[in-house]
Amino acid sequence: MREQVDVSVIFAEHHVGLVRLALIMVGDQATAEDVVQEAFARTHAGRGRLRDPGRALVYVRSAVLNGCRSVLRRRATVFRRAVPYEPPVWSAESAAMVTEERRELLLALRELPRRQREALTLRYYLGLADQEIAETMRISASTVRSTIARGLTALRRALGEDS
Amino acid sequence: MNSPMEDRLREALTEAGATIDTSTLRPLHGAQQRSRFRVDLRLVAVAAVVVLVGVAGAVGMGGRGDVDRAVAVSPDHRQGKGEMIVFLCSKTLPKEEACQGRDVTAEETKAVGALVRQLPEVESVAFIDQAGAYEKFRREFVRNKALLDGFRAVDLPASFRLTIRDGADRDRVPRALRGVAGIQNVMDLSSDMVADNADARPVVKAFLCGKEAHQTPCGAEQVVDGKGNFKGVKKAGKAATNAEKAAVQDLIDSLPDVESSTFVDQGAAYENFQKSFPDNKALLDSAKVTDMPESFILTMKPEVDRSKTISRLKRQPGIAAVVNGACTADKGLLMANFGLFLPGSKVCPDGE
Repeated sequence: MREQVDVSVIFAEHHVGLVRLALIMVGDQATAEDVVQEAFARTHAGRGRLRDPGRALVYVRSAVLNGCRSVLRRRATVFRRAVPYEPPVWSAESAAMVTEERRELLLALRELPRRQREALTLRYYLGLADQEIAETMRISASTVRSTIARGLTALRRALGEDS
Repeated sequence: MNSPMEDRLREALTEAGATIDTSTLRPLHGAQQRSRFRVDLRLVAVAAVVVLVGVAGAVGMGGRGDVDRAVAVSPDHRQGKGEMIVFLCSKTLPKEEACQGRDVTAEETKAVGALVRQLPEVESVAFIDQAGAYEKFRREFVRNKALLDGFRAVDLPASFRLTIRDGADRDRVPRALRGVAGIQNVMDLSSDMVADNADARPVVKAFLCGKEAHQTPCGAEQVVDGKGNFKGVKKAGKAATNAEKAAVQDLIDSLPDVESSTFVDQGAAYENFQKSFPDNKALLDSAKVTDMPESFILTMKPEVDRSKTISRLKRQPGIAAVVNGACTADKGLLMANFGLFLPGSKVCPDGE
């Protein structure tokens, strides 16, 4: 008999963490919550098809990342005005919440190409290993390593610290 | 062996993540609720999409339908050629936070022009001032008197129209222009948006109530937030019965302004749907054949007032929604080519 994965348990356990991950990607809590809800619904609907229960968390994180990508893409194009958009955590409006220096770093992170931004977040926010990042982003582990290295270099350059 | 940058990144991300206010975190909807909320919301999206697919696919409306299509779903494939339009601030668009209800200044216009010209992705640039936009607007909507009467040249934003180089990374352009003073919005018209096909006659589509319909005419009870936005469904509606479908067909046959009609079943609707979004896997995955609504596509006689037909159809049991293809197309055109986001009531006086 095939093992059924109860994705709802995984979501319940990781809900706050997933929202935080989405927040870092999209910038505001309301959108982040929507992304996670959306991913939850979609993943949940397809739970019978999950072949490997051990990979459920990877699958869930991938789904959240995908949701964030769609949000960012929509914002970049015609939906910009239609999507309610609260001041992102890296904006001046939320200076009270995040200190100036860190805001600068977050802003620089946000300007990186998508892949670098995602790899750095998975590594330095979630603390995932190369292999886990690779599976979440569906790229190879060696690409993860080089992407992170390039991302760090780009951040240093953006902050005027490259030597 | 951690570098200082790595540590700082870790701290900054943790701090950003910590700004989540867990006390206001909305709980996830569980499986039971999902079947009521989630699926219905998905159907809303699908229904909206199918409307557009039908409009674009059924009569080959070419450009106009495609405008809508690109608006309805963010284009995943964005490597093609095609224009990008940078709309400048205009004080008649007070809601746009980027403009804060003021007109772009001459200096800002000049600066934006210089900026877009030096972007490597941009092949050529044309400036359309308000008078130019208005002229185009009058040509485009020559048949829509309400629109023509409602707008003056100063109501339309001026714009820069950019031709993007083949193979260039289109996403870089809006990124480069983000936050630049005087810019209201950047619109990417993807490659398949061609000139408007003026000969095609837009259709009227009548969608039948499906299983678990979310539309109130089907008996559904909707949840609406304070601003009147659709939030979900309290109670799902009922699908149209065979008797109701037959009655709809009879009604359509008896309407004097209808030239011809075609019935689109779920299979055909799904085929259209697939054909229209070959690259959008997420969207395709989200819908099954049984999620598609059935519909009648009506070709109207030329030069008739569509409002009579539309309001009659709206009163008919078993009909979930009636869509005026002319209206959908005009809305998309206004948005993509003129930077105007208008409600249907303003665009299409003879019925949405």
